[in-house]
Amino acid sequence: MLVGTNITDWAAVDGAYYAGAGTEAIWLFLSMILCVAALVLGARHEKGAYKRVK
Amino acid sequence: MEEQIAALAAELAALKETTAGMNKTTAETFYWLTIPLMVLIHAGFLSYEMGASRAKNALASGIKNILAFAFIIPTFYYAGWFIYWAFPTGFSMAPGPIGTSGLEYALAAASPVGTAMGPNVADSATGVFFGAFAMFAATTASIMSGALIERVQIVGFTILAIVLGSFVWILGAAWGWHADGWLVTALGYHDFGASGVVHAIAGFFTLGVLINLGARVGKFNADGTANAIAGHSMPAALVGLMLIIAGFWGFLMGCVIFPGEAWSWGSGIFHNIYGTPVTLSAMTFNILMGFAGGAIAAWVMTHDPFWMMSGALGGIISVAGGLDLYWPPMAFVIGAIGGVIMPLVAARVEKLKIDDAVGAVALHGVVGVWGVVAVGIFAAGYPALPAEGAPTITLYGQVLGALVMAVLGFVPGYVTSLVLKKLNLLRVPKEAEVIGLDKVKVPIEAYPEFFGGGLATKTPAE
Repeated sequence: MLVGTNITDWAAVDGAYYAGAGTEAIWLFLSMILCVAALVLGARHEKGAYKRVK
Repeated sequence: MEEQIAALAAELAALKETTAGMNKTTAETFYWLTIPLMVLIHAGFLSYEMGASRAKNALASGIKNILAFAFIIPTFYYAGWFIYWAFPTGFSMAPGPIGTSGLEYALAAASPVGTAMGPNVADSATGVFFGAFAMFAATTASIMSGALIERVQIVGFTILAIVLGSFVWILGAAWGWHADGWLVTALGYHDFGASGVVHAIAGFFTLGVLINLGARVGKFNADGTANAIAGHSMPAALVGLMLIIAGFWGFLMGCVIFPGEAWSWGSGIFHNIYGTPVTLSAMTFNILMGFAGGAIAAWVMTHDPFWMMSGALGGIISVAGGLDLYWPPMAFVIGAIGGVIMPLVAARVEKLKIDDAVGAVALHGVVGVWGVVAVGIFAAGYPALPAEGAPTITLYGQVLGALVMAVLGFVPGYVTSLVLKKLNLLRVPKEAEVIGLDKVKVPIEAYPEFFGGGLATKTPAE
């Protein structure tokens, strides 16, 4: 499930129990994209700042 | 009688379950505690780097520190943790002699889409181990951070931090700080507290970057002599260094394996990462003595409080490789030698026209190498692993291991920074450097009431 859980009974939990079970790769990918986007946007901000100085 | 035995057996079973639960959660708490102590190292580096910068660059230096920490966490989750478990035997990802390494093991233990890397009631260890290692990674990148202040671009720096923290040092750790690591199994390499794995690698990576980054404007005169560029707050730098030393205890705490768990080396006593025994008591003797020897030697050499605190850190780095093995007065002497080496090497680095703003190459790179070699001089002969027929610690093995660490640090540092330089991502434009990085790219001022945007006094070369 992308969000939420199938778990209805805590006593039956005996291993992994995180929200997002079964869709780990999607969340991993999303977080990676955010990191790359942050670096790209950060680089643009920096370049713009240096240009203004010149 | 039978009922009594049955009752006793039931009580015993209940007691064993309670004890097992207590051991498990105590072990988990132990590693949890290393984490805020290592965040203290970051707090220390933050204060230190901002203090060592001129006021016009203070906040830009702070941003670098925070961003390195922030980016290393996810990238270490994606790649670093996997690298540690997959590559101990080299680049082949083959499993090592005791089987706690290799591609399959790494996929089970560290896959970023696997069930061990998140909330799991059957796993009270992976998260805190990952956290401790991620903090090791973040502090390793912080070592580089100070040397590059006042002229490195933020995004270029962040990329360097990710490479050093989530890829390079952790490969060194797989090779030399893992019981299946090839440096250990082939050469008996012993580096209890990561003198080589963290400090030498980070110091030499930094050297590689500094060569491409170049010196700050005004650092060197035309005749080659150097100008001191004073930081705007030596008190902040000194407090920062002391905080780093306090946090170092958390780092060294994370270097031991808690006993009594399925993943432990045994019960009843701590072990180091290689599986040989160690006590926190032994470590305490030697950390304190190394600290003292380094601080005192640096005082005699320089009479400068900045170098004294750096010497204290250098003393700990000098003895870190053999913290589990040295006689304490021996550790004092080894730390003192580190405190003597450090300012001499820093002066040499400056003579080579390399502008290392905080002496990271001397303190971490060279003293880190000293820490590794010292184990071979003062503690040769011990079996490097618990198994029968294990290789022993030798001077030859330590020297070779130190060389591997230095090269593993230098080459990626040099190459990555060269690529960034070609992409115009490494160094800020000269105009920005002269005006001050805070004014150019930070939306707030460090000292709005006092500074008013004026420039620091110029050096003769500016």
